[in-house]
Amino acid sequence: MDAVLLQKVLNRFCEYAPEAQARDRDGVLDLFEGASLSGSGEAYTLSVGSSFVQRMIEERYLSEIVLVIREVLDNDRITLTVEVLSPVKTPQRKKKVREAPSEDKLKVVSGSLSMSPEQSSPWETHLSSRYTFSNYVVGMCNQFAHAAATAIANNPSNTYNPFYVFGGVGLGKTHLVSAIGNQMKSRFPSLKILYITTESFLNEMVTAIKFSKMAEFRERYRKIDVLIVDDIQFLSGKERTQEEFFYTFNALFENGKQIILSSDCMPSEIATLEDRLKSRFSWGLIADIQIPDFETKIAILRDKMTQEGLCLPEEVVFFLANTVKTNIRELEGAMIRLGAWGNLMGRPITIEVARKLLSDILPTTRDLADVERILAEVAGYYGVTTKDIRSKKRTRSMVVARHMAAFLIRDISHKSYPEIGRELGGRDHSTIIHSCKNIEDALESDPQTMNEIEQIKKRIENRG
Amino acid sequence: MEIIVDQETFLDGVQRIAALTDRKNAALVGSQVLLDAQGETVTLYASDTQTGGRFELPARVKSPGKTTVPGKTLFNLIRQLPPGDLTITRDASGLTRIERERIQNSLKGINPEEFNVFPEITAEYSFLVPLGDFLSQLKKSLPFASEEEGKPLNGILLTREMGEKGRPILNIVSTDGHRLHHGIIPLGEDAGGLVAGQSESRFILKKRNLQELAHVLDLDSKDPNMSVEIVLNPKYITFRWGRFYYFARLLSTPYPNYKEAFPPEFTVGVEISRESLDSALKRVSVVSDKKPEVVFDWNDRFLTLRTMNEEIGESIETLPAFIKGEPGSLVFKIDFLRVLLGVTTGETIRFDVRYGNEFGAKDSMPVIWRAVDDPNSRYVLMPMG
Repeated sequence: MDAVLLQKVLNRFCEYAPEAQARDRDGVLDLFEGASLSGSGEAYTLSVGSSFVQRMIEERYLSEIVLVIREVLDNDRITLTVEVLSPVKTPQRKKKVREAPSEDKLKVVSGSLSMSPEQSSPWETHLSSRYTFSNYVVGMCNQFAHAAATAIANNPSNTYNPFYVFGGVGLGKTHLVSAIGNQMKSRFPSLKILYITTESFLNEMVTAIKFSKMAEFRERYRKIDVLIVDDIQFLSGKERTQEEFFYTFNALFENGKQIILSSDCMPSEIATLEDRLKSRFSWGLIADIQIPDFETKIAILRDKMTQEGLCLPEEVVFFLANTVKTNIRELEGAMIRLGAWGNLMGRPITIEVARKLLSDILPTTRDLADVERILAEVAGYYGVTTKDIRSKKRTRSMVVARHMAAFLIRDISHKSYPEIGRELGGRDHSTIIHSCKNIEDALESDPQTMNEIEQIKKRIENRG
Repeated sequence: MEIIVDQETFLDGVQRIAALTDRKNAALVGSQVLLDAQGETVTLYASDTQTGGRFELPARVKSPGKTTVPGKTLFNLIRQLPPGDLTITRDASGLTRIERERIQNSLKGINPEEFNVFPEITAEYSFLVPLGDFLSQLKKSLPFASEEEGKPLNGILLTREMGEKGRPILNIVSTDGHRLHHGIIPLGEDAGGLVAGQSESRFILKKRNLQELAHVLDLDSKDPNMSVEIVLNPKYITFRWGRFYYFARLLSTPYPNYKEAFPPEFTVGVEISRESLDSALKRVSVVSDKKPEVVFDWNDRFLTLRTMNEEIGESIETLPAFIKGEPGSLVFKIDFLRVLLGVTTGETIRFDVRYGNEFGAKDSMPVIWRAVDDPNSRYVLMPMG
């Protein structure tokens, strides 16, 4: 960066104006506030504070500035590029301190693929090194997914492609798909592996569109050997992203590259996902991760305690495994919280202490009752299946069960009407409002309805 | 009633609900917060007859029941208490005791039975709107609504309709008759189905209600994935996210057709650096002092801001600008411009106007402003004569 050179250039630039002081008077010099001029030989770069200023200089003053630089440096072959520096908050009318100018490239969303044209630096996988197979506890709930993942990690592209793993929140999908990536990375260091969330993919695509860099975006993605996309269900409702992902998927698949996807549901259950993507996601192997049983949760807790160097009494471990029903992330979080309290306070952790410390996450009846449980109990009560409730069938028993399920999900789990609609087989929210109203009306006119509701609620609580 | 509740958890709920109470008069029912302890939760309520909210939080309920306390006092007290378990009881004399070890407070309230009950609100229509987008548009819209309570323009209009790309959108419109904001929120898959010809697709809320709502939304704005469920019937609207629920009575006042404020085409377009304009306005308003207007003169390359105060003097500042159309001059209220620049973001701001003698007097030429980076908000400022 050459401040003296820039000052000389600006002084001379002012002399180019048709009248003295015009550049200062018209605010043109303000455009260069905080700017820096750098370069050597024949290529120079002027870094300015905003895209507005960049555009103004390029459209209005570039030829004059280039002439001035050539004159000052006595070199007729000098070229000038104007670029925007990342914004630095500085007070008005003060000399801004700028970093060395960066290259004018597409801004890359954190956690996504690098956009630099050539990968001179080591390939960035964005994998978290803490997720490995060695610290992944295997139980009945995930042994199939684990076996498939291990096979893929040892033999990418030739075993199951794409590999689609699905399961509820906090059950270890990210851990499993990241473990595949980490194992591949250590076994096959030359592979270009990329872990990315669907949200990052979307953000990066939006940025690429904004800066007209779609060709570059596509080019980068299609060079990957192993693409791991987490939470693919978030493609739902994003048509443009789906289209772009479709082409990326095809390009990678056709070139024999490994694709690994995770989601919270089956491909066919992702609402508003294009059929062609649903079909492609199902081409390879689909594996699910279920809610861990009690023994697996105990094993997970023990493993985590060893990793964290914590020691909780057996009965507290059992209490945690019993209390936190469905979410491993929450289970581990609760354990760490108890361990930290024990270390800091130097007092033993009893079940009473655990209950008190975790009172904010200990589920109330409302939290406990997830939709599946409500559906199962309603179905059981009316002698139908949960599939029947979600189906389009309109026999009396199914319609009654469906109304009741909608009402209880609303009442217990506080889900929104559209969410309930989706849970009940993709029904419109107005249908759900109608179902809830039906039960509310029945409550006023038929005492039996209240009885039914209470009985089902009791069953839900007991099952919890 | 007797409950044990964690101070931070309780404060989280109280700060939401106390914001909905009437702060001016502690004697009013509307200034009270009702605590209803049942099962493993305590629910906080605030309500007058037109609006109200509730929030559920976990608590150890030793003895279920209800009590009331003045919302503002409760909030100020709870936030001063140290972290840890609070014991809250209602004693036989009707006082609410809030205890934290050696700290003991007794607050007077009203009989819980006198507390305003929530109206029965039948859901007729509902849709989801992303919380972040909703809050962002509310913040832009609120300053443009009239401050005068009871006047139609004190309301903020929300309409659902099909957007230009054939996707449902939620419009948010506010105006005080001199300036207007129109924001658009693209609705996702939970937009509520077809919107054409439905009366529920258009509704008006009091500015105060949306101010309250924005305050609570702000507390939850860190969660990027949260959505607000909006439920409507012809009289009421409810908003719900997380464990918070808010209802308000809809206004049935007429609202001007905001679309008429936007001319179909323009003859002049000016793009300026937003930051430079903001700084220039701050400087020229020093000299304008109490005189509230600034003159915008533009030629083909520059925009000049000019203020004059006969007692103080004159201030002129020129800004480089991209300009299309004939040179011209318009006068704006400085305050209006400052508010506009305060709610917009991005580097470049643009105004477009149908300017020229054939379009009538200057004070009847709506000037349409927008931040170039934000296609979902546009603003109208009426120039001064």
